Amino acid sequence: MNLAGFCSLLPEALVIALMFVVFAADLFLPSIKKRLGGLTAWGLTAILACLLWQGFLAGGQKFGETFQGTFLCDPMALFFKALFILTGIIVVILAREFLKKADKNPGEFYLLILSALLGMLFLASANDFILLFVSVELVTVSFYVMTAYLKTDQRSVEAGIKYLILGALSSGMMLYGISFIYGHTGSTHFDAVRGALFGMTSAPPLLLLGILLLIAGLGFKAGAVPFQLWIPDVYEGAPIPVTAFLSVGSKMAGFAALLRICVSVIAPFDKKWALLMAVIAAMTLVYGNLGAIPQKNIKRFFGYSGIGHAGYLLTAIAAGGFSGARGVLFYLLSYAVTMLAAFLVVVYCSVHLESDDMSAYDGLSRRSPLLAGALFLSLLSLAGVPPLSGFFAKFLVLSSAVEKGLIWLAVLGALNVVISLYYYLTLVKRMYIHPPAGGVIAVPLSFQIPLYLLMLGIVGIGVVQGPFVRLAASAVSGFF
Amino acid sequence: MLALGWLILFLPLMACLVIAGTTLKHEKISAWIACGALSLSFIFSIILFAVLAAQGFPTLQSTVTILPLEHLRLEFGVLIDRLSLIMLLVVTGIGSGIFFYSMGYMKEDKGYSRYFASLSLFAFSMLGIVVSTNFFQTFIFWELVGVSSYLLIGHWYQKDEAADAGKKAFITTRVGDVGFLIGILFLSSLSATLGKQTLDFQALSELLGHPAGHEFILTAICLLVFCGVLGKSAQFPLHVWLPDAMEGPTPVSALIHAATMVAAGVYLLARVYFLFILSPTALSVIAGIGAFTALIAATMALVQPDIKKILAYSTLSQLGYMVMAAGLGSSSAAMYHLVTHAFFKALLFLGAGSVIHALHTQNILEMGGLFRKMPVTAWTFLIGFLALAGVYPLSGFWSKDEILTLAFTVNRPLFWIGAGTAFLTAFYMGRLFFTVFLSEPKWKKEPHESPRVMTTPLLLLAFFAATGGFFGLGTFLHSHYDQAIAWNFSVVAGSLTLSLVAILLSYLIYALDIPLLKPFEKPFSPVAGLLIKKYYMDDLYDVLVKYVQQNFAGLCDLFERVVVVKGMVNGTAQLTGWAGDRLRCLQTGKVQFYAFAFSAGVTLITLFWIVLR
Repeated sequence: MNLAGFCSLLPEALVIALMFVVFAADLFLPSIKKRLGGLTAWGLTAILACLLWQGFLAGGQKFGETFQGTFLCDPMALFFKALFILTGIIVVILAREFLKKADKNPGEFYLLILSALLGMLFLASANDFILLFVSVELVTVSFYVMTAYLKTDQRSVEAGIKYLILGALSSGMMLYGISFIYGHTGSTHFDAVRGALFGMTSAPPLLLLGILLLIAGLGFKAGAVPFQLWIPDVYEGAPIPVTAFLSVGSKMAGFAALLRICVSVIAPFDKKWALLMAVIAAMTLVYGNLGAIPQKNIKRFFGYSGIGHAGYLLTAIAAGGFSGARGVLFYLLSYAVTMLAAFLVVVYCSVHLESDDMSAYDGLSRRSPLLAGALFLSLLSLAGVPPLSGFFAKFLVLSSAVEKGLIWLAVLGALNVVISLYYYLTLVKRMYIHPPAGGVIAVPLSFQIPLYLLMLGIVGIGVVQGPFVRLAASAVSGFF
Repeated sequence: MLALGWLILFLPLMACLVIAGTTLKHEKISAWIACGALSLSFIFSIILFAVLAAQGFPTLQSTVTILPLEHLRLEFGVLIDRLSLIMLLVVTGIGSGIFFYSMGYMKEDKGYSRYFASLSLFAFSMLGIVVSTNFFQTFIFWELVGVSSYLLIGHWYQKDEAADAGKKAFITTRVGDVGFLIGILFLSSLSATLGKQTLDFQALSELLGHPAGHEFILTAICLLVFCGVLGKSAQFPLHVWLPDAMEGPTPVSALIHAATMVAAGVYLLARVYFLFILSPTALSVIAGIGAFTALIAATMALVQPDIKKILAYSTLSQLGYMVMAAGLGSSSAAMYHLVTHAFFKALLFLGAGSVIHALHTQNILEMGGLFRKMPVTAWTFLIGFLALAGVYPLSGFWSKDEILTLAFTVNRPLFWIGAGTAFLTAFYMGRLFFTVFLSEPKWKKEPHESPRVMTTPLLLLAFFAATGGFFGLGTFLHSHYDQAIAWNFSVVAGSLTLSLVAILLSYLIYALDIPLLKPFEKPFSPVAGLLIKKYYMDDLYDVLVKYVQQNFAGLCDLFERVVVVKGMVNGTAQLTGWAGDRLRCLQTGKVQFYAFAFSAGVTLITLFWIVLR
């Protein structure tokens, strides 16, 4: 591996180094042990800076590749990696808050977060089915352990087991699918597979089956109907920072892989693909948004809401093409920023109110105007209210669908905005109209700063969309 | 240099945000922040002017793309040319004077900080229109100006009249804005037909260079855009809000409802004159409406007892002049009058404010004999009065006679209307001035001259109102678009004579109390009644609102309650709630069922795919 190859691996290498540091500090340096969360968060921030430097050097071109081209560091990978590391930073902050109460050894938890993050980073760069599979597994296995982390809490263990069984099933399907693809094309490398697909006049049925199984496996991660049933249960049982990580990081990882396969492997392949994806998108939209209405538990609530958002992302994937891919990236950016802001509030409330019930949020506006205001802003953005980022993300997605003639899907998406507004506003109503359920909640500065930054992001991306749309466009323009 | 333009635009916004965010409780600081920010904008405008003057006034533009999509491109920017420079100077200059004046006038007001925050917001919105590069931006700031005007008219919202006046102003101008918006949309699609979809002024003016065909749609666009002007610049038939807007604090009336905001319509006409010039039909409609407004507003000013309302009708009338000038083919003449009018009308309003501040009444019949008591106010007011009446050599003379000369050469009937209006203007202003300052005193408590912070702006404005004709402003503006208008001395002499006669008459009647009008009172009482009732325009609108709009609204309300809320909203909510409940049954919590569903899903998708094939 030459120097350029190593440079393209730099963020991954640094995450591994950070893991060693955390591991060593946890074992040998009791004085630092208490401050592992801060160490991890700052380490990740430094890695994010390094990644941005990579992106700056790349300037919209491919930065480099290594491992015989199976690891590809292109603008899209960089875009996703930045989102993943941002998510990682916030999740570490959340975990720190959570671990303060749950009297546990924090070192291993941060290590698990970092290993899942490492898997996501490799996933974003995977240009080969084997690397893709291995990194998906790295992510998922870390999540199995994190989900079942509260060993004495029955729900946590149950969630872990459910996730393990269903995750194994989906991994098995995915691997089975990859084996069919390999069997037909003779390669696991994306470029080679695409080349082979180009040459085919008609698609052999078993190859199609392979692709479908692959999609099913990734759809499981992304939370697409009909592979979504695990989401509410696992989200509810998992420790709440893990829920946040699942609903932002893991979902984004699923879409990162799905998008890359769609734009770089099977894009030229079959037009009927669009209709299948559109149907899945429609079902996901309706399922997520309707399912969220009767929820009483905040984690399940965000689980369903996340399924609804997956529906919009699938809509953009179904629309495909340049505008669809750009829509996916912009949507994920907006989704990550907004959802992380929401989870900052939710985790803080969950830890300090010791309840995941939505009734705990009654009168939050008077107990802590900042928390209530931040959650209100994120909910509005999730629902897609202008001028927040969520509005413009939905606008891009729906207009890409209209562009491709999927007008029925766009109309369905617009209708679901109304439904989502309904259930998001019920939570807002609880916060602002119901009488408060307790005294004032103080929020420390270390928590306020990321919250303010994310709120700024929600408003800023919504008002000044130009640079972000261009960024998303330049990340995908190489494929078209 | 353009960075300076951006700074000029955003300084007042920052002031507004800082006041609203942090210093609401500290009144002094709030006032100084607002005044400081606008004064800085003013200084920057002067620097910008000086620098660009050295370069011969090039047209500069910088834009930021807000929405960078292929088919929908929205931009936001700063456009600096002669037109926007002069307007920047007027808005920031007169604005700063009025901001400082407000510090004295609004003393002891409960909403002091709020007042300055709204005032700063207004300054930002107005500057946004001034430097706008495209119709989209203009429309946004157009509405923002409406909002801040609403906030300021209703500043004393505890008073019903003020709250109502705010609403009336907002809603009436909205009526015009609907037309404006439709016009913009038409223009956008017209530009697409011509090859490049754009709303940018410069791009449009190049694109519309050779608009073969499209006369009809261009006329429609012009008239629709003019609807926006009708609302903001209070032209007939949407003029009814301006007199009521006098419920706001007097400095607000001076700044917004005399000098700047109501002039935004005229400024827009000048800014997009490339559009109007393509449609002679639209131009003649515009000229007609302007002249008509000028005349009826002047007649209504004759009978008003409220000092601010007289000035409000006078503003309407002068705006009519400007619109007429634009309609007659010279947007520069309109702009010239806009600038001089901004000076002397702001001066008159601030003078009126000073009088109101001293006597706590707005009724001129309860004033009188103030010349001795308030010498600074009186002398400056006199200058404003003579400038408005168009007496040589004050600023109003130059700009008004330019418009009259223009009308004389282009359209003779409109010239006669204009001349008549000039006569009426001098007369009602004479009535106002002589009643307030020279007639017998009717007040009980001894009035005093206003504090220094209020009289200094008066003196500055009086200086410009007096000398505004000597700075080469006319030539400066004319070189923007068109040629200077050749002076016709018989027109000038005639209009000057008319004004002087009117002033003399009013002096005899109102200062010396010679009952010259006695014999006319009986036969003309129906006319006076008509004028006092403002031609029944308000009543007409009331009837329209009461019988047409109320019934229609009732019908809509019924539809909304029964069909929309009961049927659609509640029905949908019940349906979705029910569906959500059903969906929950899928969530059994049993992992074997989940695994089964997963596998069944894959199978179904495979089948789906096979069927599709």
